[in-house]
Amino acid sequence: MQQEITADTVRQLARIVGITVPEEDVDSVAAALRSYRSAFEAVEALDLTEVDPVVVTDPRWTR
Amino acid sequence: MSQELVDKTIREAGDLLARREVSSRELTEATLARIAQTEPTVHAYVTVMTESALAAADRADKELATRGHWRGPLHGIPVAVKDICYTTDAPTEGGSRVLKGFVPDHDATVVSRLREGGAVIVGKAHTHEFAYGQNIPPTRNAWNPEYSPGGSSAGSGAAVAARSAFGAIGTDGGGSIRFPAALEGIVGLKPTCGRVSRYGVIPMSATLDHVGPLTRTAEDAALMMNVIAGYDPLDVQSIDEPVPDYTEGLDSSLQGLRLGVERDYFFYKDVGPEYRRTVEAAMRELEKLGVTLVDVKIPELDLCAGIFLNIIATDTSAYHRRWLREKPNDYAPGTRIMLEFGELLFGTDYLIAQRAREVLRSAVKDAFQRHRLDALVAPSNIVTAVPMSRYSSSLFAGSPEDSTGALHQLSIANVIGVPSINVPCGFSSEGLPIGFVLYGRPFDESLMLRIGHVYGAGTPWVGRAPKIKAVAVS
Repeated sequence: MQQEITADTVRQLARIVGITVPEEDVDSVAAALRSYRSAFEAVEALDLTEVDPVVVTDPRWTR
Repeated sequence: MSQELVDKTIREAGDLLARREVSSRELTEATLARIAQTEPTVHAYVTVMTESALAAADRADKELATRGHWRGPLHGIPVAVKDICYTTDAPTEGGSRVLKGFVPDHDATVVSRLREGGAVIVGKAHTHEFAYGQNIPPTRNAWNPEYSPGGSSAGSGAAVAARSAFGAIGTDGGGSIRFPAALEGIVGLKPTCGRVSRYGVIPMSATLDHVGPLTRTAEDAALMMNVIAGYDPLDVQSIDEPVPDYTEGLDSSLQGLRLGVERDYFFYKDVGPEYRRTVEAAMRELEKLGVTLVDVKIPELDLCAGIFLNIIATDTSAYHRRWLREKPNDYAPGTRIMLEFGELLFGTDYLIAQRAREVLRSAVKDAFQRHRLDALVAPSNIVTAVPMSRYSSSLFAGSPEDSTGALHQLSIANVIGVPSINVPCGFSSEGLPIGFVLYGRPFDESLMLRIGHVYGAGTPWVGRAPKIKAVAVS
């Protein structure tokens, strides 16, 4: 079971990535993260072992 | 005369120009007069480019008069451009204080192509901040100024509906051309990924952003595509595929076409009864035109929200990384919160989303092949425009008043890169527009436009004009 995302989670993550999340934004960012995690659950449940990501590298020197 | 002129479609105005029955200056002056009349109500424009527009109109007239040189279907036609497209003769602020007063040193490719095609750019249209959409721009719905115009190409949609531009350029990272088109009762086309250059357009996501036209008719969208589509080596996503004449075969019968209907996903419980009824009626009209509707199941569509949110948030936050640290208070609070949110997502999630994207793409492709589909059809939104007092552009709130319904219906085309078009198909009891959306095969814009054109020709919805309380201008 995933740990609940709280205002403290946001503050800790913000410190790690090196941004200051103003106190007035913290609860909204936590709510956004919770909504996102809920939407992302179905994606995480996929078996993607044999699937390449949609990221294309074109090595030609034409640009 | 002025009102009669601005009511013309691009095709009609172009025909008048070609026959020298009207000049580009007359069209442009009529459009500027319409802007002056409607802007106090509609607020479609952040910048009106009066002087440069009149100069461009005079050049277009001179070319036609002295050399008989016709640059194409937009020669002399007044159009608007969303204010995230670079223009050298007007500021490009992206609806944000972050770029206050910024004037680029080059045009976006789409702007260059409009200018090379002889179009007259009359102004820069309002956008949600950086097209990310968390603030509320001043734009109002042309059908009722108490209601929302959608977004993020809010000004582009309102200008076309209000007849203060013959056509407009919008951008679409998750529905931002088709959403305002649906709420404003106009046609909005998001082309295939790579079809129209995004060079010089302030980005959200390198793989979700698209540039396309908003117009009153599908034929006008085809005419604009004939000018703006094509390979651009300056855009890393641009694809060097032959560009057809999008007007060719527009009148061809729809007999034998097969349109897929994914009811579990697109007709889900949040689609309002009036919206659902109206789109179902439009689907019956399509059947009368010879289309076969095919029920399909694509359960992988449910993956879209998670994939989309991850990619759009990560990509957009990456682009804004420096500004978020240097001037966070120049962003609207809602936009800043979204950028902060995107900073906190994990790199592994991003790659998982990009892998799941392939799963979604394959599932849609398989459904098209298995059922021999030409397109999918669905409601463009779940409800009509909501009152401004209740409007929210949140991507998370999950209520009819925010953007989550439109994202649910529209963002799939961005995630898998296929073309998608909004076609007006009716009005609510409150007189607000309703539309259906088509999803096509990659690079099959021509078919999307043909269905929109043939359907529109048989109905009273396409091209209907709102009655805006015009302000007298001395």
